[in-house]
Amino acid sequence: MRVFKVCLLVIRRRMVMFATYFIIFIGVSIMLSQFSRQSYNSVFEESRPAFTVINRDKETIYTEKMMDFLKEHGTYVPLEDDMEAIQDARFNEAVSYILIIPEGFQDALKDQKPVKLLENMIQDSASGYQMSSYVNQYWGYIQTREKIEENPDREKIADEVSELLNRSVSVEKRQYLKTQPVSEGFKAQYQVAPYIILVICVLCITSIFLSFQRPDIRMRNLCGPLKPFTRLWQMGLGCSCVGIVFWIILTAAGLFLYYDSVKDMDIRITGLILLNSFIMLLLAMAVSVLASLFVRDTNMQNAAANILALGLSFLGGAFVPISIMGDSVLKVARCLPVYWYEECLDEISGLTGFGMENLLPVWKCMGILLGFTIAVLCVTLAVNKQKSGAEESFGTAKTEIGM
Amino acid sequence: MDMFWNIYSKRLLSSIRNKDQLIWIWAFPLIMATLFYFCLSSVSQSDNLESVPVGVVTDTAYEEDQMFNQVLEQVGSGEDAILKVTEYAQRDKADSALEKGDIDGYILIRENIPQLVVKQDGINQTILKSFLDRYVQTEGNIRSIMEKNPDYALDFEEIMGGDTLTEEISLSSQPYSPVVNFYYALIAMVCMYGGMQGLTSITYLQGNLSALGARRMMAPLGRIRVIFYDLLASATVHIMSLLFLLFYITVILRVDFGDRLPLLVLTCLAGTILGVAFGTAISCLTKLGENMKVGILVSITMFCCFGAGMMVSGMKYIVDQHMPIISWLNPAARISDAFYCLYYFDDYQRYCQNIAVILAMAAGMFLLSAFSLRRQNYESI
Repeated sequence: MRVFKVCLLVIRRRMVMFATYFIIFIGVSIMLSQFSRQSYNSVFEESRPAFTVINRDKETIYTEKMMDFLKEHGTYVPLEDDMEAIQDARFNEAVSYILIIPEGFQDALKDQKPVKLLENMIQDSASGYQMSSYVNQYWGYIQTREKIEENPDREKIADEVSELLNRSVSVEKRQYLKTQPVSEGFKAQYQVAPYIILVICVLCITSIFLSFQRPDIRMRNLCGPLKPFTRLWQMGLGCSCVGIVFWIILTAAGLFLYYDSVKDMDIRITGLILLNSFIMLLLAMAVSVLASLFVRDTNMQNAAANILALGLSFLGGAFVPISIMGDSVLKVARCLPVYWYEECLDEISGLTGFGMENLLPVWKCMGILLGFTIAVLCVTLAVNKQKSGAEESFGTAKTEIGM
Repeated sequence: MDMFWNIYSKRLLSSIRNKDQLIWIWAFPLIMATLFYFCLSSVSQSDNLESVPVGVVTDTAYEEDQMFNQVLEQVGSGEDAILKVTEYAQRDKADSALEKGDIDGYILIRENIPQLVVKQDGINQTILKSFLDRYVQTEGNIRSIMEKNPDYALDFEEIMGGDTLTEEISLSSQPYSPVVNFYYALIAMVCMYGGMQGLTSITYLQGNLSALGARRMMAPLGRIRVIFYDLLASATVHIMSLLFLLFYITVILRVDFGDRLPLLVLTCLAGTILGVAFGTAISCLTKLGENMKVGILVSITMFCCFGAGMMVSGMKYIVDQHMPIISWLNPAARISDAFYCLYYFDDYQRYCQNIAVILAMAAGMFLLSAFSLRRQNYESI
């Protein structure tokens, strides 16, 4: 098993680089999980858009009660009445909705042409629409009451409107599984996992191939007593071992980080997510072997790893959810394996049962991913056959030692 | 002049022929910009208001509630309908559609009050709940008005909130774009990668780091002049790569960066000077091997770009709000902010502050490097 041992030696020597990538990935996934909601709640929770209110009018019971009402439905972000601060907050999405109460607004409520409230939101945005409709509803009720009463008592009107706005319908949140659904943090980690799987696999496998492709080593091996098949078999075993060990570490890290939520999930769902990531690993290994046939030095190796991983992950929906991609991009994405990985992850996360009807889309996506893997392997074999017969097969392969 | 041209042209050629730099400074940003373009172009529409698919169980209770029936028909019809209503004769069927994800929720009438059934939390489900809440609240409002003043002429538009009390205003002459910050952070990253040029220049000038450096140390030339010519060539190559990236983003990809082109170029120039100064400082202030220095440079660049919002949108704003000093000391954040000011603000005050900070940082780094290189000699190489 000399070749196998050499494979492990090559990996050991580049361990610092792999560890750096892995640690950065874990750091990013922990950070991503902070942005997603951690715990599952069986009671319905409203989406709470971030909003701010700039009051240039008087502070009255009306504005006080309006703030209480809006805070029940949104997240209040206090901002000073400064144009630059407001613009900054809006552009950087710190607030989805800005309401400015102009001077004299409350006193002009009964007028035929009342002073208008000023608002800013993303055009056609759902969260902006929602907050705007709350504001209109609140002031609409106040306005009607002011109009029907001769001498309106503001405190009484504000209390009545608040009481009215406290009425709400009951919402039942259906849970189709007995266990909790996939936690957002755990899903986020597996959503971006194709990037790290691809980077590490390409770096590991191309490192192994680079070492064996050096012309002097290759010529020596060809006239050595080891059969080419045995050498290839041991190289394959080395690559597989490295890939599987990495996958185990990745899985262990995921389970460790999200233990609290994973323990409450259905074990079959966890199993399917891990199976999906394992198939992704197989695909990444196939892609890496194909890349090894073209990588000639370490510069190219780093570039290939990053460009392949970033390209496939970005377009496949690992960083930007598939749901918000444009139609034309989706057409391209469907031709990429990472898209099917992400699609499968979505299907698994949305499972409401384990019957054949429920699982069929999951198996379909996994089947397509496996099909991609086989196709890439076939291409690799064809390219290898063509390249090994070509004149340049002993060309100038460079490693850091060779240089 | 001959010596200037000799050093300048050789450094230009060697930079252009450096494959490593070609990949990371020329090709990689273009690929990233292309990926941003394709994947982020629809991000601005992610929160778009679309008709929410909702089911309604048309049992006897529903049929009897004529008022709700009419309201639902009204909000579910027309081109700008808020709801896309599907009727289900039995609850089981509505439940099955909800499970499959065909609808975001379904409505039931129980004791003349609508109830909502959903599968998960979300903005669509919130819109459904707020619609139903509004229905029961408006019903209560009408009842209370009628009790108080039976003679009051109820205006249906007024009661249903058709007559809005709000007016939308614009905050800037430029349209809001959630993706330009990613491009700004990308350009800031390339500016910081100018450090590779500065680092290479110093490596080729230090006798303990390269054979070329050892030879140049022996040459009968003033060190400051050699460094200046060399860094000038490095900055020239780098600004070319930045301008090419700017051209690619604004002309080929047609991303709107505003119409202040000369100032965009000025920002690129200031960023390049800062980037080259950054690499020079790292190379001069550390006594490590070249690969280690590149590692430090790339790590600091990535960290700064994270703070500038390259990985998470709005990160620059968050750091600005909670750690303003760190944000002002982050070179990538200043470069990105300078581009943002040019795009979004009508005045130049904050832009000028950013450029002043960038140039001050660059001057500080060059000064530190100069002090470190001054009268440097080697006992043995």
